[in-house]
Amino acid sequence: MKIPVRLLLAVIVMAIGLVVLLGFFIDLPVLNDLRTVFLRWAVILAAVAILVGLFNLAAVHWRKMGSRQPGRFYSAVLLISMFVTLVIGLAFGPTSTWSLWIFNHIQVPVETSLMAVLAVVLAYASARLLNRRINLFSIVFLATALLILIGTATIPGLEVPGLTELRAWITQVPAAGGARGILLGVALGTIATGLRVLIGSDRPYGG
Amino acid sequence: MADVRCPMCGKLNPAELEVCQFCQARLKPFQASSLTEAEPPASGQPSTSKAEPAEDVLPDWLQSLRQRQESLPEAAEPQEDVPDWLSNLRAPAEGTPSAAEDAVPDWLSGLSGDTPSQAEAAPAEPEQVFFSGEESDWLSKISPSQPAEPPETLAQVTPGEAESNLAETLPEESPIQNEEETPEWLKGPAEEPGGAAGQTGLTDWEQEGQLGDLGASSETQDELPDWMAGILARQATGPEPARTRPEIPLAALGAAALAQSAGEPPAPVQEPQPKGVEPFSSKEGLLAELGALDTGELPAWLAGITPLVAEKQEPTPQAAPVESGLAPSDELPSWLEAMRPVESAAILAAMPDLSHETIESAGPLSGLRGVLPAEPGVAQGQKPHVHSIKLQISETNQANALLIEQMIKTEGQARPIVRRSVITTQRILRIGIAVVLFLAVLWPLVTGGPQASLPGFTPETYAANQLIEGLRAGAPVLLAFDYQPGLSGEMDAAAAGVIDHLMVKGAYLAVISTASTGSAQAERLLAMVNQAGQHNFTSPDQYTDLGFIPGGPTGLLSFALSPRQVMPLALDGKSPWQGSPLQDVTAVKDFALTIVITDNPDDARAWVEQVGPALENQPLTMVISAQAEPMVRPYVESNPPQISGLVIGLSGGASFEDLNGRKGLGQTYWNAFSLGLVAAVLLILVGGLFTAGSTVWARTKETEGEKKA
Repeated sequence: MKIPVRLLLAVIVMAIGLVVLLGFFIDLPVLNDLRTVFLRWAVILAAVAILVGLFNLAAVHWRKMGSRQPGRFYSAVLLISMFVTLVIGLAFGPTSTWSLWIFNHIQVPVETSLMAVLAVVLAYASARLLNRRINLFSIVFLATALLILIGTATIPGLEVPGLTELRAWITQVPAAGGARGILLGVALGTIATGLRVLIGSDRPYGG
Repeated sequence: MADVRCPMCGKLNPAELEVCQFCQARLKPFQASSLTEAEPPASGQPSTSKAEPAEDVLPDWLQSLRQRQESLPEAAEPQEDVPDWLSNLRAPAEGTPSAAEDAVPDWLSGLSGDTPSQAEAAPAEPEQVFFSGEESDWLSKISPSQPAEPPETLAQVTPGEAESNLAETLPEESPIQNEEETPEWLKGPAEEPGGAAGQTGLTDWEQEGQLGDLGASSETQDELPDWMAGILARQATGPEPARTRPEIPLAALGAAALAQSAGEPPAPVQEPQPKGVEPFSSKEGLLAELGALDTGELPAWLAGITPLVAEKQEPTPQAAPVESGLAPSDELPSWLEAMRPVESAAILAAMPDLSHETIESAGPLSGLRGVLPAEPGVAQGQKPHVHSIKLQISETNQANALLIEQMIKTEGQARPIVRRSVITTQRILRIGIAVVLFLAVLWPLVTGGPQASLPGFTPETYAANQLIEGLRAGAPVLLAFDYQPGLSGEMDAAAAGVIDHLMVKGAYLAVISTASTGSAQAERLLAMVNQAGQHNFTSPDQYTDLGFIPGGPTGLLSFALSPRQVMPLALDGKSPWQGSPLQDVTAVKDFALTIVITDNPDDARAWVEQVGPALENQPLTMVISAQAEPMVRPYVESNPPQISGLVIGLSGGASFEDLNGRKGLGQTYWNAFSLGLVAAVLLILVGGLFTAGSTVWARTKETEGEKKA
């Protein structure tokens, strides 16, 4: 009797999901052990997936570098950087002096500079926000941003009473209320997705 | 001799074979030249010997036809070459009319009245000479008394009877009554009712023409040539049982000639049905007899007609050129010349002239002339006719077309891009904002002032400080670095005070991360704080780096359930769980404190949701970015709180340092941070008001312009 592959996959996923879920509610050593084993397998698979993704990235940029597409220079830079970092990491370790030198003097300054540019761009966009549209929500948005910024910092030589409290109220009441709503929505979505996978209605693994 | 390859099946055959021994396809093509040479010449000349080489190729019927054709010219010899037998034949006809009458068969008596019409019709329109073996309607009208009679029966009718019947059946408007169109031979006897012929119903030549069967004459039979004797013998014995060529009844031939002279459409030639007796089975004999009737010595019965014809031809001068034009030769009269080779004429009339046609050179029809080409249009490749494509239009249309063409051409041309000036308002504004922010940040760092007041600590920050403060020396603390290098400016300043506090307290740090760069971040920050705080924190004595946990929330859950199995080795390759302060740690809850440094609210939520339950009563503290505060704060404000202590951003780091009384990165950056924020707020405020005012002014001006318009 030939069992369809899609059916076999669905059975495996549903069984593992039920075991892990029941491990939260039922304190049985067998369930806990099975849950631990399955989770460790998941961690290993995730690590392998990262490795596969690394090879895929290298292959894509290798093909791009071999072709005459525009931007192949950047692909070459990526491959060279990847190769050098990988060799240094494998040879001396990820926390060695050479690896930390690459991290501290290349990666951190580059990414931090991007964030600095982002700060300038955000300031410029905020300044021109009212040039695009002038309505109530734009004014409220801009005023809230100004209040949070000025409430976070302290102005040298100037004390504005109530500004810190106003900032705290904005962050703890409206912002936290909205965030809680988002978190509740995320939780409900996660539960629904988990149930769909458990009952086989949603099969992200294919089949 | 080489073999011949069959054009159809491609197999080899002996050269002497005419057809393929495999597929029966013809190997030797018909020779059109030999075929045409085999045909008797129109002038009655005998065929040449050029056809002899192809005799073995020609079929039997064609060979027999050639023999007959070869024999015919001998009979059609001119007067000077009249053979003896013909002279003997003529002599009895002139001298002994009774004997001639007895010798003339019935069919010849019927022919006697028809021969003139044949002589006139056949040469003029040879392609219209049709013969029918069956009686058609018009022929039935001619002989209404015997409608169902076969042709041989009709031939037995005497010419006088046929003429009388024809006169009765023809309408009054019939062309036969028209003197101009009526043949002379037909009008002659009809206009002499008082003659001897009118008394007996027969003319003199008709009476003389009733010679009876010529072959039956014993007087002439002995003197006939062999071929004539053979013909007569065949007549005596009856029709040939099987004939390959259609035999044309001579009576029908005469009737067709009559019909043609009367203007009626001729009937198509049809092969006569075989019947019991075929009186005209041997036309060759008849033709030979007629050929013997030379123009110089006409028989008496024919000579009697001649004056009449000559008399009638005088008032109708149109007939003279026609007759002269129809004369194929100078020696024979036209009617006799046309009538003599009846069968040959029929063949010639049925066969178009193919001399100008091309000869097929390949295939089973190779050698045949006049074959339709297989690819008439393709094979005759020729240059196509050139048509003029010049459009005939008026000048106005031409001018409009030229205008449209210019417009289209203009549209196709790329418009030159207006070069914008390098310095624009927007660019100035961007550069100005960057310069202002840059100066605002650098000024306090370079000059050391103005000094901004430190922010006040929040309860969450104070709780985090107290949790660290309560740690004993060497207590295992799980420290997670889950932030990206791009946000290290804020996160390092926020976490530096916390790490310094941990180092001060002498906690044993177990560093872990769910980000791939977390270990490097941890090493970088620990080294920085160690140097700034003048600590002697080294690995693995004071801290250990467990490395990266893959899998995100799944990895966190797995680590929370069994940290030793998930992270068995540290980055230095040694087991952190043996012979170190972590030897007593078997679960996450065994850590005295768990501190998560993250800039991502999702990572913070994953720690709370996945690791928090495993901590049980152990506190969870976080150092987060300012952008993650709204998402993390609900976990702080929950009851019981899922996050015990919280340090938020640079302000939280600065306040935490202020709580500890130790100056760190937080306080160092605070002045620059505060001035930068103030500058940004001013820029946004001023820029917003300016852009809003300019927009309102532009819209107002536009509205006023529309109102004026």
